[in-house]
Amino acid sequence: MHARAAGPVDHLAAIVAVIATTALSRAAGPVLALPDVVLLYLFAISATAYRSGRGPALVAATASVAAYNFFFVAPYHTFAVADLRHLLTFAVMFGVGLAISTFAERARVQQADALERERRIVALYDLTRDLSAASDEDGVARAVVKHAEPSFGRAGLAAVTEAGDIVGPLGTELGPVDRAAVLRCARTGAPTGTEAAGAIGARVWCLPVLAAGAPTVLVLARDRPVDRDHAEAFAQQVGSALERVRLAARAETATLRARTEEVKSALLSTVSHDLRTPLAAITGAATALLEPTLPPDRRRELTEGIRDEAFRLERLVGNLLDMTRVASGSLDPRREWVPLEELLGTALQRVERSSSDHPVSTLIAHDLPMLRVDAVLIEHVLVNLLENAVRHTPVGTPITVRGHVRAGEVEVEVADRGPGLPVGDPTRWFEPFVRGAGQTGGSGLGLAICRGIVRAHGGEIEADSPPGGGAVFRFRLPVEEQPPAVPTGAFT
Amino acid sequence: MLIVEDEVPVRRFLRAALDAHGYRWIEAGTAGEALVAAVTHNPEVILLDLGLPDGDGIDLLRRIREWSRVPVLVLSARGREADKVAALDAGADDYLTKPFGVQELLARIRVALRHAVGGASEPSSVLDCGGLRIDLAARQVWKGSAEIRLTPTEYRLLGLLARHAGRVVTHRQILSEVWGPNAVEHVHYVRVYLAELRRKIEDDPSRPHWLLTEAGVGYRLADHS
Repeated sequence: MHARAAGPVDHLAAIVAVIATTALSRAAGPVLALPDVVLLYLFAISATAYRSGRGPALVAATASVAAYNFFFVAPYHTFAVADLRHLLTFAVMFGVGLAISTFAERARVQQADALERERRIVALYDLTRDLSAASDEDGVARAVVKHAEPSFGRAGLAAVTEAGDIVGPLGTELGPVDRAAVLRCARTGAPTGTEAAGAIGARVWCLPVLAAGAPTVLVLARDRPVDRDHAEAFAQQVGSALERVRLAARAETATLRARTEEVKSALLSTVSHDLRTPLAAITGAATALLEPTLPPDRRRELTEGIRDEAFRLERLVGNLLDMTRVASGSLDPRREWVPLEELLGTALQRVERSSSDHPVSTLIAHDLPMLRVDAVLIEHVLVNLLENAVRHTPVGTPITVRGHVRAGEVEVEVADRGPGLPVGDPTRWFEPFVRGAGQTGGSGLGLAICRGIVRAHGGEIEADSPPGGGAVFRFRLPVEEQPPAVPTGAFT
Repeated sequence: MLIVEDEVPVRRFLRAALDAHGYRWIEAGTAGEALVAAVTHNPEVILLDLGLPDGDGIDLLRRIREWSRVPVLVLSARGREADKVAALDAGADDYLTKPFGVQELLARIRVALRHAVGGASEPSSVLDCGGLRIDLAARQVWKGSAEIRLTPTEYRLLGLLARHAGRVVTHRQILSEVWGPNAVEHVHYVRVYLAELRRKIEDDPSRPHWLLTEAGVGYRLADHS
């Protein structure tokens, strides 16, 4: 990088300096001896050299010699020289002026170079700092854009896919010739555009960035000259960071995949066991029924067993299907206005058989606002909670269902005075496939489904151990603005 | 009666159930066969599975309804409430959700036969649902020996359910008959009025004995006689 080039202003300044020196020397008059004047001119030349470089310094030297000749060497006010020894003075003056200007120029250039090097190092340092903070490819790309700007102007990263598409924010901005340059750079791994022959008409410089994964190119807009070394250092830093980020992403994907596989196989084995158990009972009972010598009460027992196990299977399959819907987020509640009473009525009807040994009492606030919910889904929630209470409490334990308004929401509680929740985080019970200790009956999905359904309605569900013992499962649903009043049936 | 069902195991069980109770029947495995069978044999009741391989059960239903008021019970899977409602609105009389038990099936068939046009029993003006007595002519409702006072709309609603006693009535049907065809979108009308009816009639409104909810479909007045 060169120091600032001298412009016409600088040359003018050189002449001004000489004029000033001349005026000063003349004004000083007899105080200054001739050698002093020569030194003053040399001073002016040096100053010009320091400030503006060689060109203006040469102008200053020439002007100084001319001025000295004109004003201070006899015959005065002419360019003729009386004593030829003055020619030597002129030569020395000019020569020293030249030398000084050369030295000054060199110093200037070196200083400019040093400043430039320092600037680049700082730029690379800043880049590296931001790159090490980047956690993904986007972060790296952003760091590139930010830090390339002071050194290279507009720049960006472009990744090339196997299909030859250019991925990255620059993708849309590149014209066809530029895209060709990018692709060639990616394919050959060699920089393009920095040699004139490489990319005729392209408006970008391309440098390969070495990193794992898709070939990536550092694209620099050609709006200023690019220092090859600096650009390569830049590209190298970017390459390291990009490699790190990509490998980290790959590792994370691999871990996630492994964990998903683990969960899947655990699920499969649980489900397979849960499905096989009732099937085994049914197969066993059915084949036993084919035995000719079976007393009638045995037959009845076996047939009832088949019926019960089949119901159990049906419930399990239903739960699995519901769980799939909840997990995939495709629960789409078909909302209607329903009073809680009605939902409870159908739920109680559904669990009548299994809850026959448990007295169920209901306490619904009289003026409870109607809920705008999917009746089938919320009934399902109530059924699951009731069956849960039945399954986890000894025969005869009373179960209470309460419904009231609290803090602008409808709160429904299914409570029992049984053994209560096991020790531990109550939110655990709403995770899929989590069962109570010693439980083989349920699928472990009921509560997870409840949570999915309640949340799909904008509500929340929780479990608690109330002070008097037992367990309470509570869910809340937002109260919607009530529907318009019902007309008294104008029959048309 | 006509059984329209493509799954052989279900047909097997239906056969066993019907046979045990002295019903005679014909079977059809596709909608095409069913139509032919319905025309040829003129059954008294049709059991129609909505999941037929070669066509929409509801289409078949509509076509049958063009020329016959034969009672039709639709068989449908769990979670397909929309299908059941569509079938009921297209003219089906009642539905059964698979898997269902024999007792439920026979009860629904009995109700369907009872309500059939030109059925054996004369439509009587007093309905006894086992403890609940509805006098359609005198517009009075009795629970045991106590009369229950109803508003005209409540009465109209109860009357509709009573005329279909034992069978399901969809929300749409209720709205259309009690509030008029323009009201069919306002399901909450029905809910509010039915809740009120339950409070007046049932011992425990949250565990109804007579006014049963068929979730997602409609309501049914249970006949406990």
